Amino acid sequence: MLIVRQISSRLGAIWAVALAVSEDVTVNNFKVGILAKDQQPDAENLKTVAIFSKLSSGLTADASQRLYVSFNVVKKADNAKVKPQQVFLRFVAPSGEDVVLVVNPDANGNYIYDSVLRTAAKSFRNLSGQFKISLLVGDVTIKNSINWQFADIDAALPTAYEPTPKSQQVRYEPMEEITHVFRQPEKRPPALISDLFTIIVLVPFVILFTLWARIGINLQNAPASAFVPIFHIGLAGIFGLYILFWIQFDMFETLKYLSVLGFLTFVAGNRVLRAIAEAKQKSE
Amino acid sequence: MRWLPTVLLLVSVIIDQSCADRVLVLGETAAIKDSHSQFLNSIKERGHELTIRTADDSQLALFKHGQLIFDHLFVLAPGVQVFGGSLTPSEISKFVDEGGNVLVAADSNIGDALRELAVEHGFEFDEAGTSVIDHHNYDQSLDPGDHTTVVVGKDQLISAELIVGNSAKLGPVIFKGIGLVAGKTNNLALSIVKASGTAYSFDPKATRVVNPSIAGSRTLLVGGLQSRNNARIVFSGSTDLFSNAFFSAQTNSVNPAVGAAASGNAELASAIAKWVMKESGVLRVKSVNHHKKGETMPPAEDYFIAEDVVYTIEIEELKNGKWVPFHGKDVQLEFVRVDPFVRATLKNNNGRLSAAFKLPDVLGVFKFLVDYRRVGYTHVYDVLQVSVRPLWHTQYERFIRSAYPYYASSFSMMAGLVLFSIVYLYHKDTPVKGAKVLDSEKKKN
Repeated sequence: MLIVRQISSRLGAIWAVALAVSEDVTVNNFKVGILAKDQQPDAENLKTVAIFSKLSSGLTADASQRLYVSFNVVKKADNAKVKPQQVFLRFVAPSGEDVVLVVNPDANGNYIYDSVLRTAAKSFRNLSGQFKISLLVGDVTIKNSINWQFADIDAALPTAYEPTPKSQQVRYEPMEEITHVFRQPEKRPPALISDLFTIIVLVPFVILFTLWARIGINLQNAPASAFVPIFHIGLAGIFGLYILFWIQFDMFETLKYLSVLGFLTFVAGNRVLRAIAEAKQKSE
Repeated sequence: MRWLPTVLLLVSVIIDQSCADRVLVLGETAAIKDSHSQFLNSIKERGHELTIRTADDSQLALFKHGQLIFDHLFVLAPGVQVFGGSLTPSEISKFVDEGGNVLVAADSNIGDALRELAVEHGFEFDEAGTSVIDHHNYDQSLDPGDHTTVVVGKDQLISAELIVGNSAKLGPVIFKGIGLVAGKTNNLALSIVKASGTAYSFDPKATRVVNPSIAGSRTLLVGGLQSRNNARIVFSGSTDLFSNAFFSAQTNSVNPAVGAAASGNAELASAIAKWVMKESGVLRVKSVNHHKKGETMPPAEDYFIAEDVVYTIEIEELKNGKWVPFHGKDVQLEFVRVDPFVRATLKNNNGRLSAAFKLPDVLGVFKFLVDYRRVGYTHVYDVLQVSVRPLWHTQYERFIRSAYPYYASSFSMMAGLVLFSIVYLYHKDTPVKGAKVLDSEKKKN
């Protein structure tokens, strides 16, 4: 039957005489299976699926095996074979990406798809893994276009690893949060140990006073000089200056005070020793 | 006071001109003014200046003395083989590099100029003479018989309200034209309207489809990209998508899942045009500040390691011609020295986004980096460089409990020395009773 299609693609299209007969079609003799490289398709390794039903078990294939699908597209009215414009196998991955392969009719008008998955994988754009397979049949003359998911397949297809360099990656989602892990300070001994040793260190001081008390000490040899208290206060003052230097002062201030204190202490000490020597001479 | 109305008029004209963009619209013939009048008038009503020319007009130019004459370019001329005037695909690329936005609409009779233009921007239209065909989703009333008038469902639109508007409320969209694909290395491509999985792009007059170059949901009906200078380019495979006829059509899809309704072409075209003309999805940084916790200004000297800092950034969004505070909740701050040490999500307080964290105990030159890239929004990239110094010797812990034994030993030694010197100098031995004192000892004393 001659079908004259319309010509212009713009609106206000000029309708050619279109005797478009809309027919209902169906798919019968549908067989699908996974074959090894040299196997012949026969009733053993192919499964028949009725139209609009799904293969109960999933197919599994690796790159060396063939996917074999054969079927006929016939008019519902008189079972005559037709060759519609669109006869596709559509593989849908879980991510939503899909791959479409064309099924071609053979000389007798039967549709057969038979190809080693390794060669078919070239049009799979590096997809591999789980797919849902659908058959799409459509034409301008077909009233009921067919979109029929007939099987699931788990295909281990060869993929090429083509990473994009980090400078060219475009990310539209927020990235993971990072919190810095700080370096832990070194472990210190427990405060108990430190305090214990502080006490141990102070014990000789206590022993000193105890022994002094036992042997009996006196200050009878002190000369009557006025330099005695000056010397000892100066000496204690120098040690006090050490402590202040440790806590607060810098070297410049400390040297300033030390020069005064040191001079006074030196002179006083000299006088004290002179006085002690004079006292000893006198007592002889 | 008589000059006051004139002054006010001048001022209002100046203000109006500051938000009026200049758009160059190229059509195949002058009939574009009528066939697409609703679309073009909607742009004019928003206050923009439209200049409508034919695509082969010999006076066409985008640049004058190195400056842009137009802010946006709409090419609604699918069949043009060579642009007129000084316009070429490379000139249009230069226009985009300078920040101009482009909307290109093609059709099945696409010309070489548009194919070349698409390739320069990472997309590829199918060959001239092909159409997008979908035997499962065509419009029964409008289709001329070859199933090229395709009805687009809501799930085929990109999930970005900034680009396509509120897709839940959108009516079915009618598309009639050519398909395109995004190039493999085009990382910035946006699939604004994808074709359905049952569609394919082929010559509608062919009796059998043999090896279609584009098929399935990889086929794009409208593709776009926002380039790295935030200029926006959209390629639509159909000029009729923007036409008056499709705006006012009633859809009647053969797919029973899509009910008959008024077409959503007007809303979709308006949303896409607003996105392309940078009226929606535009962000800018108003101010950035960082300081130690408890202060308000950055420190005069550098930061020290492990200090508590607070970072604040104010971002504004352009809505209906006004800059309003941005309410995004997923803006992230990175503290980077070659690699990020800290990545925190900023808390949004009506446009003031802030984060408080502790600086790492690593010294070096760091950046406070905000790199916000989301579909439909312009790219926000703000960098502030700071130095992080190690602690001075006076900033460490001063008195350590484990050192108390040492402190005690030093001080006890000092005290012991002072006291011992007193005792040693002035102690007088009492002689032991009955002890013989040697002559040598006697002489000494």
